[in-house]
Parts: sequence; structure tokens; C-alpha cells
Amino acid sequence: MKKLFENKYLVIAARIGLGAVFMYASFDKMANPALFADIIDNYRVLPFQLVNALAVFLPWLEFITGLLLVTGKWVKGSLLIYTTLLVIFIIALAQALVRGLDISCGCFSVQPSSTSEVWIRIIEDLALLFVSVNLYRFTSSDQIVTEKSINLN
Amino acid sequence: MNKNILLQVSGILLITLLTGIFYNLSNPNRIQFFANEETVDYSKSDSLLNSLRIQDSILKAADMMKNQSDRREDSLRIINEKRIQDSLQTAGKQDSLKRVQDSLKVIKEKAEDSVKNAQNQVTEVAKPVDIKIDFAKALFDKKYKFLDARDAADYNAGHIQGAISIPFHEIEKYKERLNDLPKDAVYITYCSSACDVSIDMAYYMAKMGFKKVYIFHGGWDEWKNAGYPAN
Repeated sequence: MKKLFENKYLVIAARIGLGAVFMYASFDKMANPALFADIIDNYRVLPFQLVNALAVFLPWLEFITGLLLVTGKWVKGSLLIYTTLLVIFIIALAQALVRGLDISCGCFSVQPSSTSEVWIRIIEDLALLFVSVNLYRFTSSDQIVTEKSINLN
Repeated sequence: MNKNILLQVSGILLITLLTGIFYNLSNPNRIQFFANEETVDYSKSDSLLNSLRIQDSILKAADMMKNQSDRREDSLRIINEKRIQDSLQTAGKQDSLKRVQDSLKVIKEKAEDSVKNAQNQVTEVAKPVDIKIDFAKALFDKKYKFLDARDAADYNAGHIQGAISIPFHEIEKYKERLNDLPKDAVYITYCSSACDVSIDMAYYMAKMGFKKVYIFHGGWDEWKNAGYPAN
């Protein structure tokens, strides 16, 4: 696994891929904070008073983290936040599934989707988590910070 | 974890905080950072139900008075037809009957005003009002429209008799149905019972210009358990 994540091209592709996913996921939420707040509230894990604050800040946290990963700045810090967020998302989705809550994921869009899609989202998040954890663990800052370290010749 | 990574994380969180605050303040669709607790306020439900009952009883009383008045008018006509010869006596009777007619007219007008006031109390709703099942049933009996905010599958499985399906989760798709409804009519939104879409739709409708929207929180579950008319 370590050898795989020592490949510079793969590391850059993975970093940009991870960042793009979070950036894409943030747009609809930023545009519709009220709808996103409803979705968060439906998970029934947060006190009602905190739902709106999370609906305002979470999309921006996703966007900024994604942007930093794509541009290759503050990558280690971004990866740490990215991984933490994914763990939180997986726990939130899994508890909703276990409790049988008929919720919309709110992962990429604030438009509702059926409960069955929550499974797919968990699997997607687990895949992203696998990549982000390994990027964080097996790559040094020098490797993932910028493309400058790649000797194109 | 080294100090550099901690600094990066702090920096990202700080930028997020500032950007989020700035964006939300400048966003026309902004929301409150800390939401107020949504509490269901049934305080108006009972008084509105009373108004509706008063309206019904006044209407009944007005009908009774009208019948009484009609009967008295008939008797007046009969008396006139008899052509009583004694002019003084006849004039006296006509005066007293006229007075009765006038007083009945005044009572009738007052009754009509009371009905109008009671009706206004029920139909003039500034913002969505939380209501209980007894008032919801009274509105149902008055043939006011119920709007089912649940998904189409839930609606098809069972709904309040005559309710219109407008799944709030797909409101953009069903918005036309709302646009087709007259804005000045009375509407009652509902979903299942442990749900928020009826509330969301009621406030959404209020924003669209609907002024008489009630939220029936008990929803389909309570209606069904009560055995009220359903499809």
C-alpha cells in the first residue's frame, strides 16, 4: 500500500480527485442553506439550535478543504480535516440507516433521494476515506504539497 | 501530529468561519446562525375552533330568526287581508307588527355581523397556525382544502379524503400545483406525524403569498387513527 502511495502521479491525481469531490459537494449546499439545514435536522443527531450554524459553515469547510487539496496548499491539514469529516459523515449516515430514518443524504445535493441511496453514499465515503487516510499516512508533506517535486524530465 | 499541521487546521477553520459568516450575511437566502427552537403553538387552535362553532351556532340562530320573521310577516299579511274595519285598532296592530319586524331586522343584521367576524377569525391567518385534530376535522367538514406534503408513494398508500398531493421534497416539480391554487383560500398542510415537511410547506406557501395556511401536526397518522374520512 505504501509503495502505491509513493507514486507521485497517483498521489497528485488522488489529491485533486478528493478535492474536486468536496468542492462539487459544497455548491448546492452553499446555494440553499435553508434546505441543507432541514436535511441536517432530519439526521436527528444535533441540537436544533446548532443545525443552522452547521448548514452555513460545513459547505464552506468542504469547499475550502477541497480547494486546498486541488491547489496543493496546506495539504496535510486539509487531509486531516477531510478524513475527520468523512468519518463524521459515515457515522451520521450509518446511524440514520440503523434507526430507519427516511432521510435525504444531502451529500452532493440538497434535493432528496431515497433511503436506499444512503448505502451507496456510505460506500462512496468509505472509498474516499480509504484514499484520504492512506494519503495522509504514507505520503510525506514534500510529496503531496506541490507538483514541483515531480521531475518531469 | 506536528505543529505545522495544527496551524494549517486552525487556519482552515478560521477561513471557513469568516467566509461562512460573510457569505451568509450577504446571501439573499441567508438563514439565522442559531435557529430558535421550533415549538408547536396550539394556543390559537382552540379559540379558532370555538370561533368556528360560534359561527355555526350563530348561523343556525340566524336561520331560526329568519324563519320566525317570515312567519310573522305571513301573519301580518293575513291580518291585512282580513281588512279589519276598526281603523284605530288596525293601525295599532300594524304599528306593533312593524316594530317587531324592525327589531327582527336589527337582530338579523347583528347576527350577520357576528358570523362575518367569526368567519374572519377563522379565515384571516397572517402566518401559518398550528392546529389540533379537532379543528382540522372542523375545517375538513367546512370543505377547506388539505395539502399532503408527503412523498407521492405515501400519498398513494393513503391520505385524507380530497387532499391534494404536493410532495415538499420535490416542491420545484410540484410548484405549479401551488401556483394554480387561489391565494386567498384556506389551506391545511399535513404530513405523517413525526415530520417537518408540513411546516416547511406552510411557511413556503406563506412566502408565496398564501395568507390562510394551517399546519395539522397530527397529520395522516392521527387522522387515520381517529377513523376520519380517508382515501
